[in-house]
Amino acid sequence: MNPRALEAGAEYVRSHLKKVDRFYIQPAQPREDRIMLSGNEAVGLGVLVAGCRFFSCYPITPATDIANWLSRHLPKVNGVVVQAEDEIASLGQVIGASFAGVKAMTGTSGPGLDLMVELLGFASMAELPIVIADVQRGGASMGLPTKSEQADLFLAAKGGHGDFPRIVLAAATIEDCFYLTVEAFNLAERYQIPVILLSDGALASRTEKIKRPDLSKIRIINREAYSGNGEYQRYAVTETGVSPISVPGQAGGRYIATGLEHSETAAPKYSPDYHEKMTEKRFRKIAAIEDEFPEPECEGDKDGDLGIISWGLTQCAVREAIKECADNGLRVRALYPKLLFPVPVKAIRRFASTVRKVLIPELNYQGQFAELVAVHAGVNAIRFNLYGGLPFTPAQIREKITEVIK
Amino acid sequence: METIQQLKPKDYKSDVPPIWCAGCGDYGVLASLTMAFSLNNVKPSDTVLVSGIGCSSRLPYFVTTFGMHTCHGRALSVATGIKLARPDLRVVVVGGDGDHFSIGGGHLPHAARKNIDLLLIVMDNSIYGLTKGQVAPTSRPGMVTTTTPYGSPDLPVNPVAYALVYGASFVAQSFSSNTKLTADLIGKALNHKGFAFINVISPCPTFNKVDTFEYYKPLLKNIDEIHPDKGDKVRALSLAMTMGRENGEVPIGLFYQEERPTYVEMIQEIKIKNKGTGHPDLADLGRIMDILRP
Repeated sequence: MNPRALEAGAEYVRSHLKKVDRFYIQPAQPREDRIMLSGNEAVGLGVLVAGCRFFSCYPITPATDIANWLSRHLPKVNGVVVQAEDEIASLGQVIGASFAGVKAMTGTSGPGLDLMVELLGFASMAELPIVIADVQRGGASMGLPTKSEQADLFLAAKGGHGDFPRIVLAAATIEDCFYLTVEAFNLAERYQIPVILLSDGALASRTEKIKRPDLSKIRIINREAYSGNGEYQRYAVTETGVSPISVPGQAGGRYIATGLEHSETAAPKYSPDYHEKMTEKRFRKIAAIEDEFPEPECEGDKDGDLGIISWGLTQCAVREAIKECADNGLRVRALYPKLLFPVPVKAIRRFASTVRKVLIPELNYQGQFAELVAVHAGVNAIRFNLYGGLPFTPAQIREKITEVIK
Repeated sequence: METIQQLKPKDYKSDVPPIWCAGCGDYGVLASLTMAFSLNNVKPSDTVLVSGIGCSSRLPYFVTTFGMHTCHGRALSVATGIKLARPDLRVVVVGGDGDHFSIGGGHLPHAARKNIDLLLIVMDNSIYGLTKGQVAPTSRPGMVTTTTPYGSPDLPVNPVAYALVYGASFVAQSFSSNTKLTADLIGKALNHKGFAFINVISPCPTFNKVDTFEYYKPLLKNIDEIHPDKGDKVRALSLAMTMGRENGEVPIGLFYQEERPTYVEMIQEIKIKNKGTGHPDLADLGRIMDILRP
């Protein structure tokens, strides 16, 4: 650093420029312990804290930094990072590690998630807890590798043949990248199900200071272990749908994890009553997930002329825009869901009932979340879609709010 | 000292009966596997059998070990995850030539070169049996199948040569009805440190009327006499490439074995260097977070 140039610049600003905007940087609070990290590093830190000890990757922009970071740090906590030969192998390894009783994860972007879909269905069918971080980039196909989009939601929520449950979460901030990674493992373990965490290129490489997480306050959930000995029913049909799981090495816990439809004891079973019963069992696990997941944050007026539902990286622009709109006397509220699928229908319907119109801004052409909201919650939102590969600006959101309210 | 009662081969058979056709070569492989398990005192609860899709991939259901019946071609990657996450487990992958040389062909080189400590047994029948008779990666040129009614235009893959070139540290070939040899090779492979590959020619009497037991029997030649130095990779490769169905002599036995560090050993070294072999607590995680202080 050249201190003389810095001082000269500061002096120039002091004597020549007058501050007219309304933004101020808060003085640093030295007593609060902070850490500085990117979205991808925050995912990596979440991996460590969640107790994940196996991470398999295949390099892909903009997800690679998760693997880079973990490759340095996971071995310090008795963990393993492997670079596999492709994304299919990455998820295969993750599934094997999870079957062996070790929390496991992979990080990828859209093209990688495409390749993983067959094994995603397998993990759901065999009821193995796994986590996939999808750091979204511009699609389709090779698309815009270094730009941001929110266009993998359909793939994450609906991709794959046949009927199988999965959970999709979306991060909007660096804090989210950390806390939702931990939460993704908790959900995966609790429901023995695949969880996909959506992030994006802008969030992945953005570096911020955040409050240092208090690790003693973070709740870690582990899978419900089988403790019997003999007559084991791996896929016992239970009220919650969740059946206790054994790990290899456990005498009396032997079973075959299978992608075929199966009986309670994991033997192949193709009869109609079993396929129905077992499909219902698998979906029952997450039937009430909305009640078991923290309610989405809501901000703005109690009643509004317009309600914005915003997920992922549109959130920052929305937050700034509605503050400005409120200053200008517009009645706007916003809902920020982190659980995207299963769609939190109760919260969305409740929110929609407090506003005259609902707007969903998204960085995709098809209005992917708006469509899920329409189908699952029965709420028809006004769609506002950008699909050029750049994030929303607050001004774009503000203009849209003004236009819709008029 | 407590004496461990040795399990008999039949003790390794589960109560799910095999669903293979009468005369299927895979019965011989199942018999050899349980024989080898018995002879080597394999503990079923510490063992995982992993398969993909195909007739032979049904095998895990018939054995009392833990098992995974996974997607077509993906057994090796799933098995790799098991072994790296839990090196204490014994991992055996079973599957067909379609599973490992066609749809999953991209995984074999990497499991081999990484020297993942597991055993892959391929039941090679030169046909897609589960889907009733399509051309397979080891089908001979000109073979008439349902998808090649005018004869196959493809050159077959050479499984043994593949495995050698990919860097497998144990490479063998056997024949389904030679259960004693197969069990012996499986036993050697179970005690081998690193990636072991055994290609077992396992005729399909239902959909492959060419590569039958009767056809193979007179062609089989144990290579032990002509190839006593199992560390000679060039000689092994030369035999794999000059012998074979098309040359009227099918080599069986151990082709190659070498000792070199396994992947598990190498990641263990990385953990030791990073003092990461214990059970991490919040203080350990805190120290990593300290790195992120601005």
